[in-house]
Amino acid sequence: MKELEQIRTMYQHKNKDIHNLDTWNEVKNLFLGKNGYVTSCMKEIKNLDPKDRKSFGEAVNQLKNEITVLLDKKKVELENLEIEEKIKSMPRLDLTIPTQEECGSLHPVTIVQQKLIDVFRSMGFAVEDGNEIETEYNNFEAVNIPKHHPARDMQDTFYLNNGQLLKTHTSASQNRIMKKYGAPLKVIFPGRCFRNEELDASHENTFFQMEGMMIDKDVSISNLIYFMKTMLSEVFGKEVNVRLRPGFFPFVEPGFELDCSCPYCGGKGCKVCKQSGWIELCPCGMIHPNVLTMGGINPEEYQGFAFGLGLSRLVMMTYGIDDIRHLNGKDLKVLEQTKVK
Amino acid sequence: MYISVNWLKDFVNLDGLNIEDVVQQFTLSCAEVEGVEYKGKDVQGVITARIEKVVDHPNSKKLHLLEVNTGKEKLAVVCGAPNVKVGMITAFAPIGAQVGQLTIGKAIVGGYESYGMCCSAKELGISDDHSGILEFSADQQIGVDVKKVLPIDDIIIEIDNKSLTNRPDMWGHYGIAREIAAITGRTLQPYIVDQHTYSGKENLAIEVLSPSCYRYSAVRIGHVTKHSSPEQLKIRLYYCGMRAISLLADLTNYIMLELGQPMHSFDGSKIQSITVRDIQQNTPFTTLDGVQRILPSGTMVIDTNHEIGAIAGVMGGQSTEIEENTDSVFLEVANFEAVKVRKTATAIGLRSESSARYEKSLDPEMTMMALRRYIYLLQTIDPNCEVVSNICDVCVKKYDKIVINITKQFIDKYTGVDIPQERMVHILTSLGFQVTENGSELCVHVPSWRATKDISNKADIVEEITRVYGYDNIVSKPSTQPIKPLRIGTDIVREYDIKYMLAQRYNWHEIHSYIWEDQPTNAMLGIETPSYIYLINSLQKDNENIRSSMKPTMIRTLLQNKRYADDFGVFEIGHVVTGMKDHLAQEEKHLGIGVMTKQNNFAQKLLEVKDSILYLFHYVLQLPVRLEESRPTEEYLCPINHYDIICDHESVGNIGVLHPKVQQKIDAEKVVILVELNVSKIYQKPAEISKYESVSKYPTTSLDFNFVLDQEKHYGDIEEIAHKIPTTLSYHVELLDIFDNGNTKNYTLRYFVTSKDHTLSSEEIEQFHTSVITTFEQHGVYLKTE
Ligand SMILES: [Zn+2]
Repeated sequence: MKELEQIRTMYQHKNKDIHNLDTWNEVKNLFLGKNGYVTSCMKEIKNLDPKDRKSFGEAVNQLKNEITVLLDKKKVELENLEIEEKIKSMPRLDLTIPTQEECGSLHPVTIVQQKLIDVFRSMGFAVEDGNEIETEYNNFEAVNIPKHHPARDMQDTFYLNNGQLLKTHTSASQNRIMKKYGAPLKVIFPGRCFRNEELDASHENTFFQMEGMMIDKDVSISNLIYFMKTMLSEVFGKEVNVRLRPGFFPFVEPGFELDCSCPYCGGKGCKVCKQSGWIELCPCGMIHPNVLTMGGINPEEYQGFAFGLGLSRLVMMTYGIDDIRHLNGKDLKVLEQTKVK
Repeated sequence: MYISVNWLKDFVNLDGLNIEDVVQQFTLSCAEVEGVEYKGKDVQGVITARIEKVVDHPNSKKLHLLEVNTGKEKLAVVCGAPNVKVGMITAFAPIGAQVGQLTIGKAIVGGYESYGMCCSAKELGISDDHSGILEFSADQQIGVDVKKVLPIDDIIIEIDNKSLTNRPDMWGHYGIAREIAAITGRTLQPYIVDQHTYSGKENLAIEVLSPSCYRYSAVRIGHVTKHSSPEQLKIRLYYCGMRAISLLADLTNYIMLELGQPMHSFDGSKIQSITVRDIQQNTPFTTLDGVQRILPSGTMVIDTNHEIGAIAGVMGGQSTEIEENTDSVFLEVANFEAVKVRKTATAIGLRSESSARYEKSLDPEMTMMALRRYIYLLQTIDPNCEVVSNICDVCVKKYDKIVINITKQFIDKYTGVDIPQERMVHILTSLGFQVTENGSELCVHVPSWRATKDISNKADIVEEITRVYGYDNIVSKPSTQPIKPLRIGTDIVREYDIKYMLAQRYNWHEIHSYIWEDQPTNAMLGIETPSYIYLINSLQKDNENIRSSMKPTMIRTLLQNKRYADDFGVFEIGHVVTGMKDHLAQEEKHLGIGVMTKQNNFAQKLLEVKDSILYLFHYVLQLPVRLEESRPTEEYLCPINHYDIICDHESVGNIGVLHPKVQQKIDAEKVVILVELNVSKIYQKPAEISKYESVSKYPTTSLDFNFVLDQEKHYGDIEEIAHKIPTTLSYHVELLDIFDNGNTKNYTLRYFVTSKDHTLSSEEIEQFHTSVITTFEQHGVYLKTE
């Protein structure tokens, strides 16, 4: 028993010398290893007088437990120390220092167009692509603008040497799309349009539009209003109001100019809406019966509405771009500002 | 077009209405208003006054010293007008009055005190006549506000002509008044015209030969004694943008501004006969404005006494112009075919007030109305004048009467709201339509002024009803269409994925460029590029050619931005024309990529560009692709390092490098890599969906092979072979290493082979090993001999 007391004292002494895992292992071996002091004592038990065995056995076991607990505790301490050391040796970085992140850019028109496409697709519209070079028939006749119609005056058309032209409006695709799909139909078709005019801050000869059509058996003016309001609220990410005014476009009857309550000032008046609270945003109307007929759709059975959105204008509003020429300008210092999103 | 509110009030009572509200309602129901101007607002306190004395200024030839009698006091005034005379009654602005921007105060003019200012018509804003001060009739009472004498106060509404394109009836005050009556619920006053019948007088010699003259009405009026228009008439013309000339001419303009019907007044003493015909050859003619113009063959003209006297519908000539003191007028009111007038006006480059209206397809019924209005107004102003001929009215073509049958149900379906039938009928009637009802069916007779082209079908009737009913009263409603899946023909959606990938993964920048070539820049760089089609009327000189490739655009964009960075890239998906078929342009969409980097970074960059193409095909489009070395067809590309992009056994584009001779004109230290990809073509290829393959649970064995290839050959040449090993085992292959000894290249391939259902035996492995070697040998590729 006295021997056990000596071992205990010895351990207490040794415990202080443990500074790392190596010394920890040494000490553990010294006491609890195969030939360690405690293990040796355990081996002694069977040689003892049977009447002493029980009490000695209990005492050895208790000693073993005591040492095990102390060793475990020491090990946790050591490990904590080691992690603290690691942390101390870790470099401390300043992440507030600016870094040069490299990223390409999408053209602002692409970004706004994609946003619109997403909105329309979410509302069940198909997306169609169109040519930039069109026939006179598709651009004019098929949308109810016969030869010598005064409406051809409003559009300074780029003509090509083979009699074709650069399309003056996305409506040039209406006929082809109606013939391709027939009714009912819900489709949008973005495209680049061309007008032969001099350039300035608000005039480009190459610009972007997005047009849409919805044709079905019971499509009414009140559906058009509902749809435009819902769509524009989605586009601007806030509730807007719309109002219709008469507008003359040969391919719709009745034709409307649609004003949208200014999403920037909520209708109070600001620079964007020229203090009026309204933004003239998109010509629209019920598709003219002649246009439906030429597209192979029976106007007695089907009605529909069509609308055009000035994509270039929407882009300029969205990004606060004040000169339309930037959109075709190819100056990367300007374009790089619309990083990929 | 300018509309005078005073004038409108001749035709519709606007008492008690706020004009701003009326204008707002007009905008929402009829046409776009561009502006509202309050005339006379800046003329305050100007009165009539008599000049009692006129003394020459001692030191000035121009100035006079006047004594002006305002009725209350006599004032000394210094005046520079040349027409001052004693006894003259003029417009006088005393101290405190306002004339335009000027508030009158006591002034020293030429050393003399002046207590006010005598005003010209221009200063009062009612004319651009600044030749002298205004003169009233001698019996004019003095000391009266000039606004009580002259209708200086008016509100002028400017209407956007474009929004009237399809409304010939709205090109005059009477038509606008009809609209305003309908939207405000007021009554339109009848249009007062002469009602007499004329017979037993001269029959005018009028012959209409041109089929484009639909109606020709004429009359001769003699014994005219007045030559100048009343001030009220002059002011209305001026406020509406026209200049007063003489009474007989002014009335034609006045009635044109009322009805929208152009008229022409010939000097009555000069006209014996009229012939309306199309000329058979190009003919010179001097128009009223003094310009000689060549009229192309086919132009419709009015011959007076067998010589051209006017271009029908466009402008008259000088020889038959009204002389200053003539006592007779020959009045022409005609209706011409819109397209004919439009063609003529375009051909000779002369757009007049008259041609602008004829182009809109005028109502032929208006000619007699206008003619009789002229007689009525002239006789009111000059009671001495007399109609000296019978009224001649040649009708060649009449428009069909248009009757549209429409039901309330159809209108309800079209509008989506329930407008009471009574309201529908009321609206149509107020606009001049005649409606007969049979239950819910409306039989709508279109008035002649709307029947020339404007209204022809049911949708047009819906528009008339809804715009006056008020679009704001149409409640919005969702449609009740059944839900159907989208038809996806959506190349544009895939395009976004491509663009996103190029910008985000490769840090390149998307641009948008014109569809035409920039020929001067191409020439400067020495780039020749074919063009299959060109613009014939572009305002942009030297930019007529439509591009056939995206590469020149990419090169020019890199040039423009060459100082942007050492290493950068741009791309665009744009339209190009690559040929013609049946005279139609063959349009394709191409992706162009242009990357500029430093010489020493060339190899790495080329591999990066190649990587972008593989990534695009494999991961964005899910299509197989391989590259095949080829010779560029473009002379501005380097003859080496040019590869065709092959998809589905077809070339769909290429990768190349800018020729050094072009490169040195941009930046000799740099190198430009170019890609062109026909995306229209690859969109048509069906995406490959990779099939699931079960993963083997058994060990995989790897086998290395060392093949030798000529310098000329590419890995691409053996890649296909490598995947064609005849075996039932599962395997895949990787290129481990390339060793180039200068003469030949050694390619180390590592095969990984396994079975799905058992562990491979050494015999099986040996057999596979042999198969690989045999397959390559069959294609003339051998193992490296040690
Ligand atoms: Zn605003």
